Amino acid sequence: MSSSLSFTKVSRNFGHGDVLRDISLTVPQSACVALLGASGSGKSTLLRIAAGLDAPSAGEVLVDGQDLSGVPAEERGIALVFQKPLLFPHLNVLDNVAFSARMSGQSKRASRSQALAFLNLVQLADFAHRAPGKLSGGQEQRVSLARALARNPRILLLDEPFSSLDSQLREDMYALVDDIRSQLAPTIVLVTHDRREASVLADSIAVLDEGRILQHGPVAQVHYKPATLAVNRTLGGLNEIPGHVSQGCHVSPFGRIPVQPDASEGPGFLVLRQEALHLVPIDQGAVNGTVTDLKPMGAHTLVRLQLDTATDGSTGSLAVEVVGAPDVHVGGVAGISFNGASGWTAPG
Amino acid sequence: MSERLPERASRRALLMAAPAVLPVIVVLAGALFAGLLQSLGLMPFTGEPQLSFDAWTTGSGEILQAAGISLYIAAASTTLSVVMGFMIAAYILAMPISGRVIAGLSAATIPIPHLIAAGTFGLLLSDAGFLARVLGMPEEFPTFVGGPWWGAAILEYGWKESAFVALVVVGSISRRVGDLCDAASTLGASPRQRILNVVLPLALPSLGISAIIVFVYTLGSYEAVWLLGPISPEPLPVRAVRLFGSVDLAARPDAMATALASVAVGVVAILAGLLVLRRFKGLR
Repeated sequence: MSSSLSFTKVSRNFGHGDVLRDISLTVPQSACVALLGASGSGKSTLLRIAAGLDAPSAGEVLVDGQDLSGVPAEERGIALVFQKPLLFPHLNVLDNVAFSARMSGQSKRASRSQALAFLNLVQLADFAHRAPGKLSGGQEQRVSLARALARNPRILLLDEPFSSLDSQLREDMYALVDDIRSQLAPTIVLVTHDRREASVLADSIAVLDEGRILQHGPVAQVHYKPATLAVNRTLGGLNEIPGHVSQGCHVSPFGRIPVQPDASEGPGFLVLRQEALHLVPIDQGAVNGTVTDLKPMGAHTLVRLQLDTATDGSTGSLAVEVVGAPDVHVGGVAGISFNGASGWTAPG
Repeated sequence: MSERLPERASRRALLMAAPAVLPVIVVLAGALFAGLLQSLGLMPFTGEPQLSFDAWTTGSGEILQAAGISLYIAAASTTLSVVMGFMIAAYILAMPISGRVIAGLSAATIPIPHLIAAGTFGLLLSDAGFLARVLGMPEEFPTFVGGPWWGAAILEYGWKESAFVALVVVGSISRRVGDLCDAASTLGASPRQRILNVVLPLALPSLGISAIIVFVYTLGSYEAVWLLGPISPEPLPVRAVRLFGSVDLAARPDAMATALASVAVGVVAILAGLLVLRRFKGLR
């Protein structure tokens, strides 16, 4: 059974300042929403408030429309997987997973039988009788996930649970979360500072900065249509070209690019994802630029270019992410093309 | 060459510890050996040394009775201290603000000497003491001081040592218990269940270690049981001190036999406690 979760104008003040300010967010039933933000942006505090481990200074947390004010954590039916696995060291793996059933008054036998099913789900049934200290980091986090799922939560909260795992283990955990979503369809709120993790796991991303939600939308939208420059930077966007919007087009050294119809006239930044740009032969793109830096990124290379000075004397720089090693060198000149029909502007 | 490095490091560690460890070993071994010699008549205060087991055989009944009383007082005081200490620790851990006040009061209790505390308990709990007067000196006021159950002495130990137990427990588990209790509450555990199923199991190793310390301390402690207990029968330390300070110098071997019996009981208690604590090795 899964439920919807809503935050209505939630604020949290710790005395030295506001950690959360007027947060309003709705997570539909069985959806997965990622709260993405830097350390200190307030995302973990929001999760703790939802779990009942902290109380908001103002605002409400609603589950299926019901206000949870004053409902203690143990009665909310919301499970939280922490950044650290936090397995109980005095219990073996099986009894850790059986913990919630035992607390609800089930017999040891019934609790263990149910726990074993969840250990099977995370493919750790063979480790049932091990002590938590004898598991690897990835195994511990799997047990922690199984333990939270064994609570049969209405909502599952994940507080950067994979941040300490290596990249291969992370991929395994992403696959596991996909499995769990397809089998149990829980409502999930994931806190992360990793934009890739948010994009891989979530249906939508809410970008937090200094205690405010800057934008909440589908994964592609927040990447390609950021509401502000801060959202663009949080999502890893590197290109913000200053210029001005006039008659539905953004005018800059990059040229005259059609942008969203509701863009405000006047100064604005053209936001172009580095993945949406291509290097082309000189004079065959929208603009030419001189290569100033080449940064290998595994299978990709990030090329930084200084744009040629426009007729109005303005200039700028761009980053282009290309597959493999490009046939350019620092100091060389290349054309830059944009593969979208229209661009996107964000206010400065 | 590199294989010798650990050996060299352990030798260096031994040398560094030697200034602290050697005096302890010399004093402890020397005192025990001297006590043994005196109990066997081989180090008399006056006269010629002569091997004798009289102190151990003729006084064995009294030593056994004293040992029984000492074990009772130590066991009761330890149980009371551990139960109260755990409750104080749980309160300190659960209540961040008022818990600090309790932690401060507990810390303030520790430097008060047992002699002062025992005197205070005597004034508080005797049949003409403060509490009896406040209650109008009822005839049925229990005989805490000088009574057959050593109530005042056990309460004094419980009060002093529970603060020690609480601070040991808080110090050993406070860093991780908060997060684990948060996890437990999101898994449906009520406050009572969190205390019984998370805090208590995590506290067991530190409770065990502090229980051993309290047990051995109360087994060998003299002032409180001397001030607050009945004149007879005597626990081991009271008997040992009385005989050692007796005008009859021939009682010295009996005093030493009693003291050594106290040491033996203490050693057995420590070894038994350590064996039990091995079960909790994974939790430390």
